[in-house]
Amino acid sequence: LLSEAFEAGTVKAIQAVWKDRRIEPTQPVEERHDDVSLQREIDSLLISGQAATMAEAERLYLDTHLHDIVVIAEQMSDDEFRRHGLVRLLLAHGSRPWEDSLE
Amino acid sequence: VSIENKLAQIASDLEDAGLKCLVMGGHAVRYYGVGRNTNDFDFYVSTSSMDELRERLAKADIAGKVLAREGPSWRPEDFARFAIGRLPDGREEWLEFWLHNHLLPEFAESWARRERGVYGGRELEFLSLEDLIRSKETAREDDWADVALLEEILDARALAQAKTQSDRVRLLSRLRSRRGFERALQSGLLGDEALLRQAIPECRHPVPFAFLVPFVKDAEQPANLCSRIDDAYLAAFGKVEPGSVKHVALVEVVRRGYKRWAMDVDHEDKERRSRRKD
Repeated sequence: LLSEAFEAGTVKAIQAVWKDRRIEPTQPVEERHDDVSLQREIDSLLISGQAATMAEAERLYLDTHLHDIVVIAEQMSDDEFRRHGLVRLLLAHGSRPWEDSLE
Repeated sequence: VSIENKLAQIASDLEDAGLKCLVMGGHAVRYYGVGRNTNDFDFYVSTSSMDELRERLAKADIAGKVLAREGPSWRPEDFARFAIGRLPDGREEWLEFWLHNHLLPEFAESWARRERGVYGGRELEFLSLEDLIRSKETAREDDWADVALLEEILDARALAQAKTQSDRVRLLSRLRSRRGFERALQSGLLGDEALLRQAIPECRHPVPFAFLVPFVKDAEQPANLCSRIDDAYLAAFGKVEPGSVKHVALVEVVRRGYKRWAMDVDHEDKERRSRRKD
């Protein structure tokens, strides 16, 4: 696939193939979005210019992974779910609780 | 002169000029209790056309001035702005008028729902809180920060006023903020299944429905929700403990989906208007 992309000669095609390889769709959804990979993806949105600020990059990341939150809600215990990086990011961007968490 | 007093003077001068207006935008946000800066004076105005507005303004004395300079508008049949002064830092202050906008109901409807209150030392007419929230559901991210705070105020007011059964149905069917939800939960309102079964069909917004549905698992999505919840997401609500972290997170998923939808709708409206202008 990479050689086909190089033959096609477009940076976009190369990036698309590289992105597909990096995401590894066979990886279970509950193992994606660990703190390191989540931050790396958010940083890449900033570096690529798709987002102008960290807040915008986080919003973009969340909006493209809403379905994953629904999936992990069905698979994880309440405690695991609460600690998950994607869930913490979602709640940090959402409506405020009565007392903001000190965690 | 404070900005509140200046707005009050402008509103009074517009009334003298025969213009029926409702305060909207940043000053209305401040009136409802959100402390934030604003440099513009925004009104929803009832006139037959923008030309009539210009004619009335040309003869009027607004805050001690004749409005000599009209700014550019990318949708001149719907929106007009006039320079009214200059801030100490050199930026211009604008008096802005909306005649139509897809985020505003017909003027008569907004007027019927208006709120009258004291601001800048005078009684003024404001866009109702619910209409103001709707008017802020734009493609601009900044407006959504106002929406989040105004939703908390909407819920706090409804909770304070919930004396009768119909008040409580109204409160639950319009519940928008996490703080409002937590207070409704603490008050025991969400344990009253008969009340919930009355409130759910009254929901018009997906967020209140998402707050209520895990308490009544067989409840169906009301047909007239402004934006429907995806069936795959809805199934997840049937499996969560009401009030749990999973429930709250799923509500936030629905909220983000709604926001994205509303931003797209506003963006499409702007594109359509731009094409028409070209």
